[in-house]
Amino acid sequence: MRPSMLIFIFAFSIALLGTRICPVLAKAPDTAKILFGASREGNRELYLMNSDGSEQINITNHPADDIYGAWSPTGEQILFASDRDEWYDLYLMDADGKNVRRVFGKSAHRECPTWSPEGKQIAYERQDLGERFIYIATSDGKNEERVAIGGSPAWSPNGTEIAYVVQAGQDRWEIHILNVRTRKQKVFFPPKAMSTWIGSIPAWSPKGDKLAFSWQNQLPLKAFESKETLYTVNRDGTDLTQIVGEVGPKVTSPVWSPREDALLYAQQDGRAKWSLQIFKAVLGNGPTEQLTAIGSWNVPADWFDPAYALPVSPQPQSLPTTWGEVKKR
Amino acid sequence: MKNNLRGKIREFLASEDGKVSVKAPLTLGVVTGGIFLAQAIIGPTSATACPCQHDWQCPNPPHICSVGTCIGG
Repeated sequence: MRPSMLIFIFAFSIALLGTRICPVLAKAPDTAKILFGASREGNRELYLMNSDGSEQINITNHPADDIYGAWSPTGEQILFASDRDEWYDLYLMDADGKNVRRVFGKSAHRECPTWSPEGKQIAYERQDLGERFIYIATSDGKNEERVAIGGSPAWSPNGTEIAYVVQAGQDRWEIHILNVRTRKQKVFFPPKAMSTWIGSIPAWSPKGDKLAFSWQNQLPLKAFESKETLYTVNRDGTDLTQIVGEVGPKVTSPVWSPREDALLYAQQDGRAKWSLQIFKAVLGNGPTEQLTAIGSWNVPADWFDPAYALPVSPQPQSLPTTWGEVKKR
Repeated sequence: MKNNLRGKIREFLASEDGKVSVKAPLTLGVVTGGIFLAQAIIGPTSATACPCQHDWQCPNPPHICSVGTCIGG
């Protein structure tokens, strides 16, 4: 074999190896970071900030709209939706916003992504001919499978369930829960059929024992839209608790702190209906802190803390110990 | 007999009655079908057809999603 051919094979192997190990080299944040969407220069971008609201930086910097995102379980990657290719579809980027790449080879309207706790699969909302469906796929964009009618999915920390929102009728929005293994679906909230509005993606608590969501049930729903506020409920359906009072402007988009001691949410700041700022409420009647003050639209998406993440993805053979149980320790 | 029938059909299609009752609806059907087919091939548009659930499913601020409907602007 000629030396030039040997050099070519060597260089090709190195390049191939590089593409394989590149995701491993992506670095997770060293400190806790909040991922949020904001409209500050005319379009929606994804930003990072510290848990106290400091050091807010734009990590997408793209003229298209970049919206809801989710940290990978190890914190090395962020899965997000962007309309940079005509309609919203899913993209992956490193935690610092670099190395943006499409998840799926074939474009479709996909958004609201959520990771399985071991990071090997993703669930998301996909719109097909004007209808919303929940899909599951592997995180490399393969094996896409439709599993339910509905949108806004959230994968439970123990990996067994997906909570999602279904429009069950005119002005009837419900949270359903899908068993990932059996594909059986059940209505979770509200416990009985009623006119009601669920205005957020359901948010599982890190231990998986509670769900937070924004809810409005005063009729007519549109007339009382400002009454939408934040609730938590146990996974067994008990202990429905209002977290933020209905007196103030509309509240939506809850995100749990990794320690499960606080909730982020977006609330209209009184300047206009579309003007939302991010707040942090410490649970148990703790203090509330405003984290953003600029821009017309700020909505929390996810909160990553390296102290509550596993350093590497767990191996499938060791999965009897689930991510959620590890997080409890 | 067969040629005779074909001739009569051609004659009918060329007539004013044939144009109104067969040719025009057929053309309309083919055009409409073509539009639907093109829509299916092109795929979804960024403007969502189903009720919104989140603000980002509406055009940029000042539009927001209110109980399944985009408002503002």
